Amino acid sequence: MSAPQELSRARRAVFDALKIGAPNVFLDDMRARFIAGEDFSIADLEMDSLGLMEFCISVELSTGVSLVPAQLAELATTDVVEARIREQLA
Amino acid sequence: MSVDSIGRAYRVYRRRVARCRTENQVNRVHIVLGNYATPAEIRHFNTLLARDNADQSSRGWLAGFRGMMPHKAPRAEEFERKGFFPSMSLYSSNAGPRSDKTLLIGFAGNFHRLSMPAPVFLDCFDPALYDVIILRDFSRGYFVRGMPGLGGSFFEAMTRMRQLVDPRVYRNAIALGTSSGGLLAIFAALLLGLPRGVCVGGMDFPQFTEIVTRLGVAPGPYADLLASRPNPYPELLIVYSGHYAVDVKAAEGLHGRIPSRLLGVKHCEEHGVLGWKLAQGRLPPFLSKLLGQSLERSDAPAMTETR
Repeated sequence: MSAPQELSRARRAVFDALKIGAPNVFLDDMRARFIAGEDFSIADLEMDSLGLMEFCISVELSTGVSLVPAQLAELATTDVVEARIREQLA
Repeated sequence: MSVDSIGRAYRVYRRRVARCRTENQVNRVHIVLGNYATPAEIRHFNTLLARDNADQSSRGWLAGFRGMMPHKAPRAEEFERKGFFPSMSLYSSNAGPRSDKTLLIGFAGNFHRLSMPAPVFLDCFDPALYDVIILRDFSRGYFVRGMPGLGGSFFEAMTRMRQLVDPRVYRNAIALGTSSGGLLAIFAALLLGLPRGVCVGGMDFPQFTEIVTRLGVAPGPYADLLASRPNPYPELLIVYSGHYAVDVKAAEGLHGRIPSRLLGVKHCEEHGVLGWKLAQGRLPPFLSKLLGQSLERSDAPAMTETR
C-alpha cells in the first residue's frame, strides 16, 4: 500500500518512514488507518534501535528535516512527529 | 583479506564519515558498514579508530559491533568479502577446498540483515568450514522481484546465483532466512535441491501470496514449488519465537503445508529469534543446532545448546 497523493508532505514522510522503520507492525490495516488520519503511539510501533534510526534517516532523506532517534523517543505519537516535521518545513 | 586491503577499506570508510553533516548520515554509513563488513574488518577498524583518536560516534558504533561478535579472538583464517552485487555478497576464505566446506545461503530480512550485523553473524562460523552468501532485497519485495544483477524474479536470481556459486561443489549447502527472508529459504532449498532449509520467524504462505499478488507477481510458481516433493526432500526446519503470537501462527500454518520440523524458542517474546539468542550469549550453539552440524572444527572449544 502506497501513500495517496492527498497526504501532506509531512504525513507522507512519516508514512514512508514507518514502512521502513516498523516493517513488522506497520502493515496494511495500520497503514489504512494512518492514511485515514489515525494517530499512533510510537511505542506501539515496536521499533527497535535500528528501526528508529532507519525511520529518522528516511524522514531526513525525504524532507531534509533532521530528526534523530533520541528526539523521536520524546515525541510520543506519529501526529507529534508529523507536526515537528511540518514546523521544520515551514 | 590483507592488511593493505583492510587499510584501503578503512580509508574509504573514514572519508564517508568525514563527509557526514548530520547524525542520521553518520548512522547511515555505519548501518551500511554493518550490512557488509567482515569480522576482520571490524576488528581492524576498531584498532585503527583508536590509533586515529577518531570521533566518539564512530568508535561507539565499531565498539558496538565488536562487542556483539561472539568469537572474541582473530581467527587463523578470516572471511573475505566478494561482492558480486550489492544484493549478493559471498564471504569465504582461501582455507581448504569447497568440497570440505558448507555453503550457507542467507536470505536477509528487515534492514537487509540476518537479524544482526553481518560481521556478528559471520563471526559465528569458522571460515575454514563455511562459505556464506548473504542475499539482500533492496526492493523490499520479498525477493519475488529478483535482485539487481541476479535477475528479475526469485527464480531467475536463484539460477544466476547457482551459476556464480554452485552449491553442488560443496560438502553441504543450507539455506537460512530470517523474517521476510524466512520463507524464501524454504523455497530455495526446494528449488536448488539443498539438503536443508531453515526458516526463522518467516511468514506463512497465504500472507506471502497476498503480498506478492499485490506486487503484481503471480503466486502460482511459488505454490507449485511448495507443493513439490523432490526426492531427496530437504530437511526443512521452521523456527519461531515461542511467545510472539504472529510468528507462532505463521510457523504452525507453514508446518501444516510442508514436511518439516517445528522449533519454538521458549521464553523468547521477540520476532528476532537470532538476535535474542545473541543477546542471551547462546547464538553459536543455537545456530549449530539449526544447521545440524558444528560451526567450528572439532579441535575448537565445544559448544552446547541446552534450550
